[in-house]
Amino acid sequence: MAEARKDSPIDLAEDNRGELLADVERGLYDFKDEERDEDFYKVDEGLTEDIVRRISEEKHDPDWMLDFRLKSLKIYNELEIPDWGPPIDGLDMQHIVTYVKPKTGMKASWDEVPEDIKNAFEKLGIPQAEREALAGVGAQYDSELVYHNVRKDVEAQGVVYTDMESALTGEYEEMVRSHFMKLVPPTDHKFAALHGAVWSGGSFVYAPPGTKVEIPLQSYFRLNAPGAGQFEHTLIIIDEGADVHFIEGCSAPKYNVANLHAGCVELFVGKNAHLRYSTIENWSKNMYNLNTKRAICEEGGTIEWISGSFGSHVSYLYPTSVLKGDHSHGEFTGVTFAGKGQNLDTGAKMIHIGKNTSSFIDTKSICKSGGISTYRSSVEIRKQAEGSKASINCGSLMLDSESRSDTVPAMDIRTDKADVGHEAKIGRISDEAVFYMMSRGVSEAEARAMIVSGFANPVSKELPLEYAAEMNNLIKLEMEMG
Amino acid sequence: MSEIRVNPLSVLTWNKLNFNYAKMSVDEGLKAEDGPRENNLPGGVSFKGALDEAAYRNWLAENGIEYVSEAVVAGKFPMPDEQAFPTGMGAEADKLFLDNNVPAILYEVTESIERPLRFDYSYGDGDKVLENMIIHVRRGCSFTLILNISGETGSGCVGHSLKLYLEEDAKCTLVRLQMLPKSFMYFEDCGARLENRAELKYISLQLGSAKTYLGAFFDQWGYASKLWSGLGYIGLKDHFLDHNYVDCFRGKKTVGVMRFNGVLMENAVKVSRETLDFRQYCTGADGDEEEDLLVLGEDCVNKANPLILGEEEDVSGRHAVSVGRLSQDMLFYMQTRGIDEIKAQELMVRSRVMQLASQIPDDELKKNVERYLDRLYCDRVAECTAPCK
Repeated sequence: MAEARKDSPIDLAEDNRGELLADVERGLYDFKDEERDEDFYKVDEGLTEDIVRRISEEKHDPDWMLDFRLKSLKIYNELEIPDWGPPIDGLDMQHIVTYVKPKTGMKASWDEVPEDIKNAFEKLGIPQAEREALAGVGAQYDSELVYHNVRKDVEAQGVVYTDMESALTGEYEEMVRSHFMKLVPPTDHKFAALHGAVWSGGSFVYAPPGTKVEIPLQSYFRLNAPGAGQFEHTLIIIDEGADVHFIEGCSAPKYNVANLHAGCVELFVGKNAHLRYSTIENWSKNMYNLNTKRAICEEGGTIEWISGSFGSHVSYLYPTSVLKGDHSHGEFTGVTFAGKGQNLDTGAKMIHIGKNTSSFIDTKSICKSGGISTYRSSVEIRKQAEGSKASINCGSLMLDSESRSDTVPAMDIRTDKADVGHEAKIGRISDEAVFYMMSRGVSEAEARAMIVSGFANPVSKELPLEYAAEMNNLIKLEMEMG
Repeated sequence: MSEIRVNPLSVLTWNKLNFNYAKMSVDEGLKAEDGPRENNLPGGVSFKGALDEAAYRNWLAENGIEYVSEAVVAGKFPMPDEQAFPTGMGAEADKLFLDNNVPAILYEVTESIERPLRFDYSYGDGDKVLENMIIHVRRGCSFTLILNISGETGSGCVGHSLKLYLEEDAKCTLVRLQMLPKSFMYFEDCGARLENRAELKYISLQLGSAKTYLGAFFDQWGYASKLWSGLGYIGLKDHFLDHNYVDCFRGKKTVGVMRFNGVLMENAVKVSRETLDFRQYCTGADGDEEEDLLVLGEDCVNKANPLILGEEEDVSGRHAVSVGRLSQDMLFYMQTRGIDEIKAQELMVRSRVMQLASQIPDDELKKNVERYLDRLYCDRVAECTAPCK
């Protein structure tokens, strides 16, 4: 059995209820670090052209990027807020600080990272995870990366894993320029445009043809400042035949003002390449998580999304796979747990363009204590995508009648040479199952937690062990909280 | 020609997908149906008059049907579609009848009637007709109604709206069979309210009309009320079919089953919205919905949005969709037995349609459906290969 990370919420040794409660102390995510003005640079609240110019100047953007930001701002001002999803009335852009930069450069050694920031990541177990299980780590604090490192053997293969700013101004500028927001254009929706205007931070990965990174790369995003927004951009390009697993984690302390996350992930999967993108999202419950993730696969390419959504006050999150190349394949496996005060609208989109493409969506939604969980998806099979197959499976588990669970899947099929199957179920925890476990000495609360963990098993089994354990602990934590 | 919004999705989704509602163009000069009324009604069924808007509201009040605002559907999204008696096509369809001064014809069923009551509607070239009915089935009564809608040739526009109120322990089988000529535009709307232990079997078979809009809203208010609904259709060349079926569970231990069985050929387009909506306090409710679609044309478009909405924990809801073509294995098997591809298709289409048609409690209409299929395949064989036998 693997050893648990110190200071992490994971206890693999004993699944004992008494210890469990201690192990999942919410403070592990909710701790706040006071940000002294002298240590941080902030722009004013709100969103104006002047603010966008200041961010660009602060980041030493090339001219084309400044132009891009200003065009995005214009599009943002022209687009309407979506009328179909959870309400976001509590989000007032006039009170969001779009850029908060720690006054430290990006470091390649944890020893050089300022003590208070390093402590935050220590509490989250990132340095230890890096030593034990990761090929490279990027750690973002508010709007900028404060740490980035990649293992030498991975670097020796030619794999590039760096922060977006370095990629933008260094030798990969052309590669970035030809891919940046090409998959998620600012015109896509209002918050994609917002991202285009104020993005900062994030990671750039390039895997050359044929490379195989055996252990995952990870980026961790921590938003510490109250009333701030985080707009990191992740750009991953996996060249022909390469294989990468990328893990993204995120958390924030809870404040009584709204925070905003409007990141963007663009994944380019080359011919016969394979990319697995795993996310455990545990934003605090004052967060508006309006994130956009999209992948495009060339011939024979495979994209796998593994997603656990536990945090946020409101989420709009629908990772999209564009299966452009013939025989390309997309998979989405996700679990969403909506507790008190949460309205999580999550799901996936699959767009079949190439011939003989295939996709598989398997999601589990859980809601409790008044939480609202919506599974929303679309599967589109274009006319030319002959021989395509799609399968969608979504299950919802309601743990009480204060909560709400909806499934809203859409299908648009434009060829007769496709096979599509869809199945959805909604239900509750069976009394018989709880009774059976209680008759074997398990308490009712534990039995219910175990059943919910089992329900989410399709996701946890796809994660590396430590992350699966973290996810199970988050589920148990949510089950314990009223 | 005017355009109205019909078939609103129970909760909104991405606007780009064009699922949130359908736009329906309707002709000017629509007139009220002057077809079957009080004549030839069996004992136990009475014609209670033509209700204008005020009389309709009185009827709602007299029967204790409180106005339930659907402005906020299940506490989630603001919806534009408020109706006193919800129907699948929504408020603008109701308004269309009002704007064209088409009253609601009220029939009341006060005794159980064994023999099905059948209303035949036959339309001709240039007909532009609206029919608006309310059927009120009194406590403990059972009743079967068949609406047979057909026409020989020509073009026109036909719209039928039906509100069905089943009191406690009432049972009703309702069949709607549509075999209009291709150049007719047709829409049918339904709102049904089921009180305690009421049971409704609702069959809709759509074989004609190149432009068809269908809506049904089954409001299961009563304890242990039961619904079985089946929709069958064939989409031929240039056909467009848009439907919105909602089963709303409000009473405890309510049971709802919805089946959708269709065939699309050539370049037919189908848009479907199918919702199981579990409202709070419907403990023990059980909803099951299944769509099975056979696609036989390379230019067909199939759009589906099957929803499950849940605000009650103690329910069981299931939805399944299967979209496919004739499997190569099956074709091969049939060919080894001397059945060519067109014949194999015909067998599959016939089996799907007749599966639902066989439940129509009227032998003459079943034969009409068979004849319709004979004609259809006669034409197709003539187009594709050899002279018709």
